[in-house]
Amino acid sequence: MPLHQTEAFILRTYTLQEADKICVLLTRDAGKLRGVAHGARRLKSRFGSSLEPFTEVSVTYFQKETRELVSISSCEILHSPFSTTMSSELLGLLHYLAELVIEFLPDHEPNDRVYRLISAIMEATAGATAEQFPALARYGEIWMLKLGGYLPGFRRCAECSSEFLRQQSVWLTSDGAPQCAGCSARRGEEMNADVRLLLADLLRQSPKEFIEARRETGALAQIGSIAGRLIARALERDLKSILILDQLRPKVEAVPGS
Amino acid sequence: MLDYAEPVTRLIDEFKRLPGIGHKSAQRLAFHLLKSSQEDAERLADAIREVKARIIFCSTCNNLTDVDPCRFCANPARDRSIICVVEEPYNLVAIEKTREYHGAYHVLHGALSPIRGIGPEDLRIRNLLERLRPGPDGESEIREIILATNPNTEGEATANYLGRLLKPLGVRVTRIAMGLPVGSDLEYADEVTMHKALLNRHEM
Repeated sequence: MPLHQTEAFILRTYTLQEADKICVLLTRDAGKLRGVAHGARRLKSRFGSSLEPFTEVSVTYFQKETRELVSISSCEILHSPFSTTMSSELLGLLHYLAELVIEFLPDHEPNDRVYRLISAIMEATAGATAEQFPALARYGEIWMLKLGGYLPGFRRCAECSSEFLRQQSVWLTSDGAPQCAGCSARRGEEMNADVRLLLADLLRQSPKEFIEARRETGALAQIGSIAGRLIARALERDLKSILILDQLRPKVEAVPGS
Repeated sequence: MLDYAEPVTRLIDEFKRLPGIGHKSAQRLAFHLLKSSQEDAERLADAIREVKARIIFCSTCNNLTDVDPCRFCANPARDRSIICVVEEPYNLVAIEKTREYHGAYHVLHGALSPIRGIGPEDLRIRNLLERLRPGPDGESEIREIILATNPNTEGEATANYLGRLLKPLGVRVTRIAMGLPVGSDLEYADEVTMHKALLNRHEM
């Protein structure tokens, strides 16, 4: 049973029996893995805070041939989002990204591009404000769709293959494929030039550059709704976390008597 | 599972539905019950039946209780101007063990966890806000809220959410300290725990 060592992001943990945890990890070398961290729930556990979601760790593990779950021997923290303030909005973003990776990435398939995507998004969250988190969520979902092969091309009409002009609106079919005015007869959801430009920026820029530019919230929301439909179509269900994201900002007007 | 009689299979299946119980543990529990006396088995069945029939949520603090209000809310010796907010009823027991806290409690029955589909609407926050409602003199009875949710990502985000919700109401909101466990060794502390311990240091 050789020991393996790799960098990894902790995506999610579940409690197992009295003191153990099952962890879902996105590793750089071995893709998505599930492993057991024995004794991780104990107060004086050797894992300490290293198993909190989206902590980047250097993990050492071994795997028995007959077992699907690996055994985690140690975790050294490389970066932890837990050192800064954990706002409810940041929790929402992290859980949404974790759910996207867990659902789209098959187990035991190394994918350096997804690892680098998550790494870049986590770097961008460090200096981001809660107002910028929706842009990071859009960034994560569009790129996960693209890397999973579920994002249609937005440069040409899906029907006649004619290249779209820069200022041209396109119309989306029910499965998200873009069509020109002629082929779609202007039926379906209209995606105007601003939204297309925003999508092109998202696919060209780093997450940090993408959130630093001022974005029109309507265009960002339309990208979110298009991505949501593509995700639901790919997974045949909605993600749990997306339904909660909008509730995570405290609304003081909800207080009785205020 | 075809090897066992149908009632045994059913019992094993029921045990398997409990958290942390796999097939082997369920089998072990079922055979332990089969070997035990009729009285022992009936005592267990009665205890399960009674807990389901008699245990309710306290209408004030949401703690699990057999009388409403619960013994903490009904105790006149406790300081009702301080509320300690915890995630689960068993967290309250951990705080009571200190014998240092004499205020009231509020149980949220969970923490924010979008990945599990748990948002603010799923936690018992509304009746916490109702407890802060000003009295006839226009002043709230509550002076301080202690946020004692778990020191993990979800507990911290829940505390952050509640803090931002409660602070504008003019109540003092505090968070339990995070840092090193007593009896541990600095050598083995991870950097995040150490960072939190330094942040929460106090004057000597």
